[in-house]
Amino acid sequence: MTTSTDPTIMEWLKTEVVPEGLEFKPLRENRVLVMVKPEDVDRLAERFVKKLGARLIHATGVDREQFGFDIVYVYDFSKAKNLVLVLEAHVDRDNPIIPSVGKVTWQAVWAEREIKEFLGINVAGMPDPRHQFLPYEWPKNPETGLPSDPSLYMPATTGVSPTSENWKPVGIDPKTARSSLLPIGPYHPGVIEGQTVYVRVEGEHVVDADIKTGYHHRGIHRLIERRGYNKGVFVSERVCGICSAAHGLAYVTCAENLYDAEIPERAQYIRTLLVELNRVHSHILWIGVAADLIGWKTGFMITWGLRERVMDIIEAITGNRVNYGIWRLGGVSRDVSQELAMKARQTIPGLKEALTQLIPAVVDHPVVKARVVGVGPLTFAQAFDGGAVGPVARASNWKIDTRRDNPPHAMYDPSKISWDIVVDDHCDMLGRTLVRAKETFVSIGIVDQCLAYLEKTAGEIRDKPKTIEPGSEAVGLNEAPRGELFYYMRAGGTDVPDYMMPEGKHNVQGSNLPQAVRIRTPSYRNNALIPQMLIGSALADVPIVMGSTDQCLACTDRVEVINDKTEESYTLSWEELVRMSQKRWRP
Amino acid sequence: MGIMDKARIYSPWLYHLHCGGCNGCDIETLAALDPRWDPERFGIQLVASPRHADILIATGCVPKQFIPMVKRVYEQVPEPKVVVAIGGCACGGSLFYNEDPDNYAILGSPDLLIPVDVYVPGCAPKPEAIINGIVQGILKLAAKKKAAAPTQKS
Repeated sequence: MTTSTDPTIMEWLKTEVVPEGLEFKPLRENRVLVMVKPEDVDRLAERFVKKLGARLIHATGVDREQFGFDIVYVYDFSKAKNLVLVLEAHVDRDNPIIPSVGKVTWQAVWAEREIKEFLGINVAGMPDPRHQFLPYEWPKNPETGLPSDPSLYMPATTGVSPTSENWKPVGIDPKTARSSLLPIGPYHPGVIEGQTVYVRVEGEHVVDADIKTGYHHRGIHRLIERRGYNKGVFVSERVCGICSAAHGLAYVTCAENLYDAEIPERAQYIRTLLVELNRVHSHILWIGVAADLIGWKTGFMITWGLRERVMDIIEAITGNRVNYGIWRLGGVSRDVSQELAMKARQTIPGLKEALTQLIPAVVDHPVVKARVVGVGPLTFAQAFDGGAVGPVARASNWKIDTRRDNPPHAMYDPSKISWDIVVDDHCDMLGRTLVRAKETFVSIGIVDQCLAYLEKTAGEIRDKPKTIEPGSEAVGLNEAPRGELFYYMRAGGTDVPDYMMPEGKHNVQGSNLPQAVRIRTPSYRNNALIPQMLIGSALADVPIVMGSTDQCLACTDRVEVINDKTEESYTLSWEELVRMSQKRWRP
Repeated sequence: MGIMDKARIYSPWLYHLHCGGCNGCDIETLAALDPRWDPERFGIQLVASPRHADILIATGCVPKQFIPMVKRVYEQVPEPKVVVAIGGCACGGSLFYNEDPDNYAILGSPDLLIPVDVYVPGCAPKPEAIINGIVQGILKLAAKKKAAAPTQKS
């Protein structure tokens, strides 16, 4: 699966993209690592995002103990070239400080709060310095119990027209709120999992919103780091029980990029088969949940009844319904026999027919239409600036799909599997519903092609184990049902370069464990956009707008999350926006 | 046994308490209530508020941030009540629970906070197992009713 990076791309990087780079190192697949000075990162971010149309996938940090920290920024350049740029900057342990990228592009805000909270690195000029995973009211000094600074709520808008320089997140302060402040959650019938959404309402209309998640932080990064590569597969599957196959594939893609893996073709087909079955059941599940959120219980029951037929295929193939446990480094652990593939394939036409009848019935239902058209608007500009991923981005007419741009270690070769990216230009709840409904059929088409291959052939399903070089780095990407999933891994046993070693010593930690594992889930990005979608909607639409990202807080809060709204992408003034939203809802 | 008690035992309402965990047991709990198994014909259904519930379905391990919420939701369920723990995490913390070194984010299974009556192990348990757990919970609820009956005047 290794591909050497194109020399023209390296040349392009050195001359045009990052002439400031200290060190250029091609990683496996289309990833390139560039070391830069920490003071350059915000300038580079501006060039990448504003000028070259790149997209920040995630920013994170690696703790290298006495050698300080490495801050890692991962950019996707797929719009211009076939390239994923891993930008690294080294900061000292004594005074760890980096300039904020969040003030350039809002996509980085949550990532920077995470860096600050995980590693204690100061981010100079970050637009939203609140806690990301800890409670807002977490004391700065636990012994004295003094509140942290800045405290729970950020002040409301000041009337200054927001630009990227003076942008401030709009939180809600109950003391200064003129209108009613409604906390929704942590337990609320609209959402199974725990989160708190603060909405400020004037009458029935949401004029401001803020989201606080993070109750679900389970420390999964640390669990994988201390359990090693092979056991980590099972932990990664349990980041989220709904898209467990996508997490398994992203994890093995990342770990396989640490060494020269050769995945047998049959294993690639089995991987694709499982991920697409997972997507089918997840999208049907979402349509049911969305029906439930708008109060249409019958729609929920019909779709969930149909979903059982997909679950039967999954159960026949893997033996499990939720966590499949078949992912292994270098392949899969269970073969799909030819008879099983044949039997499973016979159920596909019936399933397709049932879906063909059911999904238009749900999507075109007049009651459903009345509740989804124009609800939760998200324009392309908002989606791009906020870094939306997956169906939310595609419903805003943004054609991104990791399966095409940076494919995982599974069979998505367009010469062997034919499939399309579904985009929609409605930019609202209807668009998100249509994208998911259409993607269900695309995924069933892929499942059918995979089963057709599996029922005719036989072969190896697992590669032989190989050694992982100390200190190697890898990025694994996959398209989960909810959007792009990101894994970053750095192998332990790091051989630190000599220029960073004091007194010319040689440091070898010598363990077969990853030094760092970082995960960025799709809901982490999309949840951040919920407050933007909420503004202007009626209070009754809040649950469905929250549900429209198919939010999965188990994913999001693998450590924790919080979100705020940016006004940067609005061209309207605040008053105009409020007036417009009121005009719409007050006939 | 009063008519209220009978009604409660015959059609117990469930409140689904997601303590943490990965969502897998939650979708399986919902799947157990879907038309294939259809427990709603026996009056078993999910309700939106713990104050309406008889049986509390607890899934997932408890992250430390959820401790006060889990306790409070349990207290809101009216007596008599039964707690059914669904899944490996709710039974013993599963792979998120780590003793040495301690997982900084996780307290452990919910039975460290609230009394649990029925344990349904599995990762995730199949809907049949979940329904079996709910049935065991109903039997426990009936026993609790019976024990409380002599003190009732009706």
